[in-house]
Amino acid sequence: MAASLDIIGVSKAYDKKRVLDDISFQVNQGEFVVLVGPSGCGKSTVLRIVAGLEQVSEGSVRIGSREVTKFEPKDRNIAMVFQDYALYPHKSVYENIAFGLRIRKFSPADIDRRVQDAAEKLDLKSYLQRRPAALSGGQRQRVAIGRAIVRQPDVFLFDEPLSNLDAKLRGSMRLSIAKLHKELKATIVYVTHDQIEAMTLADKIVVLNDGVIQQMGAPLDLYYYPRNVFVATFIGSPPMNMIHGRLADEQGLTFISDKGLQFKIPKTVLSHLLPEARPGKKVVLGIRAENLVDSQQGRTDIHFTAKVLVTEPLGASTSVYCAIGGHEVQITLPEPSRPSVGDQLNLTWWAEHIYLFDAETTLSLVKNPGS
Amino acid sequence: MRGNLSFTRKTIYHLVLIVAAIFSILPLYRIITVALRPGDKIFTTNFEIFPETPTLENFTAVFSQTQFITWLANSLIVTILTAFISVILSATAGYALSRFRFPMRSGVFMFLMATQMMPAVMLLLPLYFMLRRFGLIDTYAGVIVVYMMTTLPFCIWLLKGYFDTIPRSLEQAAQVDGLTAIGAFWKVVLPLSTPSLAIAMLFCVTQIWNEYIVARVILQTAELYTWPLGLFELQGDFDTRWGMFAAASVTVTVPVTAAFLYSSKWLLTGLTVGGVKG
Amino acid sequence: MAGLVLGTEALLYAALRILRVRTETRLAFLLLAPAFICIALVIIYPFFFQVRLAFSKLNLYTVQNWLATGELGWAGFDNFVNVFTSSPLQTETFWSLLVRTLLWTFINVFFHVLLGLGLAILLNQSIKGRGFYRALLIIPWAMPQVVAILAWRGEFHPEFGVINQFLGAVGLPVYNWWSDPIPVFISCCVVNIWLGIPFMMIVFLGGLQSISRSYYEAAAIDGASKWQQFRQITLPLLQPVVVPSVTLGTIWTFNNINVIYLMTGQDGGNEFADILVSALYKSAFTYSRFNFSAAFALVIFAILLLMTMVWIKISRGTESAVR
Repeated sequence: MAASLDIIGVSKAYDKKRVLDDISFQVNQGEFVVLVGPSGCGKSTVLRIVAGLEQVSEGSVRIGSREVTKFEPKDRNIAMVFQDYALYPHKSVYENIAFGLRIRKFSPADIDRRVQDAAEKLDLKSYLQRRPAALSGGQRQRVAIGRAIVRQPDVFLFDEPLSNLDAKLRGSMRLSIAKLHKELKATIVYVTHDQIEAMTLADKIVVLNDGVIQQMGAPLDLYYYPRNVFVATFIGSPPMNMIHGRLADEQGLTFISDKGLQFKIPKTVLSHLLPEARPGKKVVLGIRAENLVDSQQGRTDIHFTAKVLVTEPLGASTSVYCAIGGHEVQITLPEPSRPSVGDQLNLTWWAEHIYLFDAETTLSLVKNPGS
Repeated sequence: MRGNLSFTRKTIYHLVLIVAAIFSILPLYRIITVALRPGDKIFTTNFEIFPETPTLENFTAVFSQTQFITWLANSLIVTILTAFISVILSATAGYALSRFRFPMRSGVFMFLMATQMMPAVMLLLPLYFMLRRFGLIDTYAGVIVVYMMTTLPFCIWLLKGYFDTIPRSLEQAAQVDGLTAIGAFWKVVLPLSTPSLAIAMLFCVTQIWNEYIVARVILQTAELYTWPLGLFELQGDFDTRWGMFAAASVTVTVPVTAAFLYSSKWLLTGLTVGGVKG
Repeated sequence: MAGLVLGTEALLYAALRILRVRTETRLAFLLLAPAFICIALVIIYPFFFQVRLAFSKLNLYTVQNWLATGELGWAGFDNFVNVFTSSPLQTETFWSLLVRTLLWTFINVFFHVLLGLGLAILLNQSIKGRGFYRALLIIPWAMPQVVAILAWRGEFHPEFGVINQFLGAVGLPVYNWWSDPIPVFISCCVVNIWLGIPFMMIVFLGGLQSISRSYYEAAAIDGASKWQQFRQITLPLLQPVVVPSVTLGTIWTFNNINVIYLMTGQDGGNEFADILVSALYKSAFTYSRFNFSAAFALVIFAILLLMTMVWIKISRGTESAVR
């Protein structure tokens, strides 16, 4: 039955090198938590610590009410889906899925029932007697998931399960995993470097970088209120544009970029800024590609002229690289905008929501209403 | 896998490995100590780790009182000649087997596999007589001929396996660029095969350099002895030349062993991966 | 010699041309020719010559006559009958040699695999200095066989060798490894096992290292103990590596003349530990029983052939069962 998971103060060091630093987060019963971050940030290490495949240097892990920090993997009642599937090559699909049950001495009738059930759910019924070598990548992935399901574990662990699949398959597998979560009401910890997977699948996202948690929260929370530059550029596709500059007082708080682009910060936004946002402060302004629209559709008084450099028509939208006051910015314009290279665009801010960061500490200067 | 092994586990592992290692180097170690013992102390029944009065007199005796250097030179000549000829012939044959379809191809494979099963002893008698007929007993040529029996099949099979891994598109590209089929082999495939050619060479060298039985039958006069035969001149049932025997052994063994160890990582991957995958 | 080869090549080329053999096939034959001419000379012809000798009357006394006139005589199947009924040496019969050879092969290969696998597993763990251990453990393979065997022989000397000195020191019984039948055989086995372990160890180590860690991790999560992991994952996945190396090891052990011959004192030594191939060598070159030896060689060859065919059948069978 699904259980809660608590990671408390976990640190991990290899030979003096700190890989994880004081990681703490909670996964509620039935919650889908995604650990996301660039390669080498430590997310897989966290997962393996939860699985018991690695030892903590400090800290503890609880599953449900049990303290499992010192337990072997087999005693934790967890199941894991590996990035390379790790299907036993010399066993059939049926035997692969049944392996864990056989070890635990389940009755053959029980085993058969569970395996057939899982095969039904994952559309594997016609492959049960095949060997992994005779299956496609997507099929193998499902077998790996099947192996995890039949154990009915307290917690499911997924280690970048979709990274070896092609783009199309990734999309459909994502849906399958989401559906599975709803059906089984399982507690899931899912590791990925792909922020789209994180945004679409998670109830809660934990962003990691260099072994430190950058921010935790609901997907949209992270989208609208990133705590620092790292999270801001990591979440959202395409990545947020960053413009360096400073704040100044020119009849009201004004942003002046390093290349001279400037605009007055709207009064409605001012109240959302932290007191640290003062004139003289060196700051970084964030602009999401979706934040700038044609002047006629915007809702603020802030206007920019942009010169189109490169366009990438994608069908329903167009990705435009343009120059705004000396800065190169990437924006996404929906249909029917179809600019050409060399065009002059009049753009305005979409809504009164700003992304502003302290240039030295990289922390956000915008108040987060949630926290 | 789980991070660190327990302390008791590790100590047990180390103990076992140490015992195994001692067992492995025991003969070599003992031979070295015997070689360093002075003449009057050659036969001792006390279990000493290192001779009390080590001396190099056995070594000097070997080099000054025997034809050891001649024997080494003989081995060198025979080994290098055989290795060269074998590798050259095997390269062309291996290439043909790898690239071309021709009648009886699988028959040839079976034959090569079968000959690797046969030890030299099996055909030593008829070869001996054949050589006697042509007066090749007690000559370099005679012994080289017999050694070819053991080296050719393996080298052909090894090189064929390696050529199989080189994509044919390379030769095809070369031919489009203007080379003939033979030219493509010579200028494109061969240079790419140096690792495997080196391994084939090394295999021949290790086989022949240490070989005793065949050499004993073919070579009869002391001037032509290869070093294993020479070594037997020095070994009796523990007569006074045991010290020299040890010194001679050490002289041959240490460089050979060192060379093997030095190239071992590379050599072993080549031999076992190719050889075992079959 | 070189001139002969080139000349034959040219003739072959002309012949192939005339016969209008396809260029591709022609080229293939030309490339193969030098090697195969040598093989024909060095393997095929001697083989048939040996068959002829097996039916001949050639022995120490008729050799000179043969060298002068080329006459070999015809002995019918007498030589073959002798192989099975009389001793190639002085007392050992074909049957005792056969039994001993099989015993020898089985015991040696068994320990080669067992100890080789054990050491490979140890070397696969993450402990300090395993590169160093590995280098030391390969030395039996790296040393020239002749030197190693003679060194071991020295250590088995009843009086001056370290084996008896050690046994005596710890209070165990001492044996005459040089002249008592069973101790002689045992000493040969010990030496051959010592010689053969490194090869198996290295092959198994390579196999172990190629097994991906995630299989073990998945099994650990599935609840398998270390022993279960070994049986369910390590062994099955090692099989493709075990089969060829055991085949090679068996053939090499069966045919290993050096150990027995050198350990038992060569020509003047005893025959308690002789196996088929060493008896073959001695019958030809120590006792000069040429015709007998030729027949003997063919019998041994037949046995080897039979063994290989049986083995191929078995391993094909198990392979398809696993696949």
